[in-house]
Amino acid sequence: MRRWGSVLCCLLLVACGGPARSTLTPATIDARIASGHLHRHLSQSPRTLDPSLNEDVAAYSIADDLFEGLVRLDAAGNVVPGVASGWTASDAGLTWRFQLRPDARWSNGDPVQARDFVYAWRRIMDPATGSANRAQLLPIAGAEDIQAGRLPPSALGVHALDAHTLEVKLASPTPYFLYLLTLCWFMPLHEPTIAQHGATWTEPAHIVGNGAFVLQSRTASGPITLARNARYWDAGAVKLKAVTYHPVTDTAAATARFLAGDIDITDRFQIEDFDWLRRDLGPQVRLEPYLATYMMAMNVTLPPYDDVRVRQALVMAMDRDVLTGKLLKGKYSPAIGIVPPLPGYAAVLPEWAALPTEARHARARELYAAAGYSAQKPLEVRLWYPMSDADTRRLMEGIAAMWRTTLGARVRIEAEEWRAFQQNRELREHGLFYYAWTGDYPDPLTFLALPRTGGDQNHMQYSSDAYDRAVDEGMRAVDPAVRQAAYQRAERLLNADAVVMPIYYYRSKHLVRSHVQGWRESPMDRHASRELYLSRESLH
Amino acid sequence: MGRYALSRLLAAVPTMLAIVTLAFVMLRIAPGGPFDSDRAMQPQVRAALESHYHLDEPLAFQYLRYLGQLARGDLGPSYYYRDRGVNELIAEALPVDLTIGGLALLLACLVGIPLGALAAWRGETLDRVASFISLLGVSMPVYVVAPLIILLFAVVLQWFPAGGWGGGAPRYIVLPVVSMALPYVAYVTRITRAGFLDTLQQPFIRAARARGLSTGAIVFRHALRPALVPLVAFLGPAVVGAITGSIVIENTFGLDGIGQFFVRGAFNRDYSLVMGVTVLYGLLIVLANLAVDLLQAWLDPRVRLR
Repeated sequence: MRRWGSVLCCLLLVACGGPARSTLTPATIDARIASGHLHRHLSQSPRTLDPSLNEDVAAYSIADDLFEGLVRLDAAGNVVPGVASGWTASDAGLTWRFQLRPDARWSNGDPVQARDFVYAWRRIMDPATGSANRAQLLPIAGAEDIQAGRLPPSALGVHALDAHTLEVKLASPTPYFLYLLTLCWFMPLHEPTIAQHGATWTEPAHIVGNGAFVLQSRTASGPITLARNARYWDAGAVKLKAVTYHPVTDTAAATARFLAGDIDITDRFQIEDFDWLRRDLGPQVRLEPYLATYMMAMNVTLPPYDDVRVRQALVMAMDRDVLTGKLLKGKYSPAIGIVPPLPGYAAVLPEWAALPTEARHARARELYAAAGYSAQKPLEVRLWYPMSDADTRRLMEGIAAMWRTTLGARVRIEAEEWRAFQQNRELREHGLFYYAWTGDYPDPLTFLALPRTGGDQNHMQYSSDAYDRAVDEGMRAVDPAVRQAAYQRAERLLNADAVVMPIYYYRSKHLVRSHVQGWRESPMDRHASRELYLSRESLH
Repeated sequence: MGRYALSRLLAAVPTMLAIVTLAFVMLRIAPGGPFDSDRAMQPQVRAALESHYHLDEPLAFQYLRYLGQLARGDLGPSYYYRDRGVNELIAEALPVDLTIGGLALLLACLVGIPLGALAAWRGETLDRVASFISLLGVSMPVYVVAPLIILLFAVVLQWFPAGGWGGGAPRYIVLPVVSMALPYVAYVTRITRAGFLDTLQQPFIRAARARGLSTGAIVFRHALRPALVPLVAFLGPAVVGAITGSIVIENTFGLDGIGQFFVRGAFNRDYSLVMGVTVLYGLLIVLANLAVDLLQAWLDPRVRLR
């Protein structure tokens, strides 16, 4: 599938050597603005529109339009009131009380009530629902026991005190709790609709939501059209009349459709197209910070990676500046720590980060030799990754070349089809493998929780009491300074043990047409349609 | 002919059974399962899902259950699209492929048959032109032609949309149909030309000419039908290929057809979706081959059905 994608891009590249394309005529732009209909791209078809079951990014953006949680994100990614008009936290941040606005309505006219939240959250925790997102609710009291099967879903720490007051008890103070509440798994659900229609409750004819938009039409993998929800409590603030999401898997095809004028916002573009896109489209090309780290990781229970010296040697022999600067054309920033830059958190860098390249390589060679490897007895490395785009392949080749030249290791690159890769990683058959993580919430914990003992994503099989204690302490801390100190301690341990090898911090990539207004940089890359509108105001 | 058709259909049952069995076994052997994702799934939830979809039963039970379902025409729920059934998915996607593939083949025949016939009949210049066109069509892969067509007609001229289905509106259909038809035009032209050249050298054509029949009468009354026999043999499988979707065309034009389900279903280990599409494909192949045989017998009296 990649092949014709790149052919298309080459052709576009050649053909667009001339003046800027994608110039819609003024009359077309006026017509688009008058229609108030926005066309957005999705990089895949959502598997389901049921917010409790959502597992893909495509579904998240639609959930943001169809439903509204207690709070929501504004255009710049700040938490602002949603269904809740106000809230109070007490008991050292363990008890939260939300006041629901009385004018919040479901799209069928029913009032949105506290019990709709209770129902939705318990539904996720019920194994019969089959949701893979139960871990998202772990900060709530009781969730851990429910997940382990020791308590029923009804024991979840969420209660409707009256129709418009919701009380939530947390297991530990969670500084990012309000952000969590903006996610689709915390949105309310209309119980009578689900009870009546079962699995088909998300059909356009059945679905009842409480967001700024309602579902108008949908096919399994085709366009999904939403219309403004007249019953939305803040309908006056919603400027778009309709939004159509177009799932297009092929990134190059999505770019072509943007250039042809069919789509106003794309979910992504190929990084190798950045230069000519920027030249032709100017500020319509957006490359923005995004909370994600691209890494390699090692299973610390498998030889030779059970030797910390081997891990450190491999980590230090990797030249991130070369990988990001040369192979990725400087579009991403090199990563040294697992936690991407986050406001309010000062990441801890390993001591080797300050060394000049030569000194770092020399240190890597010392460790390599100390672990017992030499030119006569080279380290055998197999580097596993899931087959994907050309960028990834180039990156793997680059890393392998660095280990070969700096250390003299014998490196084999092994690509696997995605499902096979996942299964083998699960079966702990990979010693050294591709590992990437997108933050679930803007807090260091979303990254630092990865290598915890027994963690869902701990494919490294890392287990350190000191590390777990540091992370736990950070989680439970109320004082931000204590919290930061604990997380920094955890990061220091992780750096010393060299369990993961961060390579670069990801960025979100969008094409946004110039008459689309209201688009702001959002570190979690969430852009709800209610914030967007069509206008000529800043066209040049 | 009716009895012949019936016996052929009955003979197809074991073939279909073999296809279903093979596909079923191969899918289950493939590593990974439908519920593997980036986030590890908790055992309780996985157990609930597997029990819901009967994936916790022994494989033989699952197989028999599937055959039972199939006999009732039910292709089961999709494991990937959690709120959808496979019947529903195919019912949504098939019209797209029927339209695009059907129109592409029609276009290919409308252009290719006259072009091939003329090339065989008139020779020389026209023959060279037709050969050039068909060579070009055969040697330019769709994944080159389709983006070029999008570039010219959607991006530069902006006459047509660059993709999408638009509910089947003609302006959405034109580019994918043309892109898909081009290689078929080439094949149809070449096969028709060869068929005509072969037929025109037959003794019965020489006899017709000796009887003083006009060129038109020879071509239309005597040569056309036997000359089309090889083309019909080609069109049978081609029809199935075209209407079950081309993943390249669907991907490039963002169409939601069967081809996408085949590929994505396999990647997602959506067992029931891949099975459903495979059964559909097998059934269409059986029907198309039967149709070809019947049509050939009708076109050429020398062909006997046995």
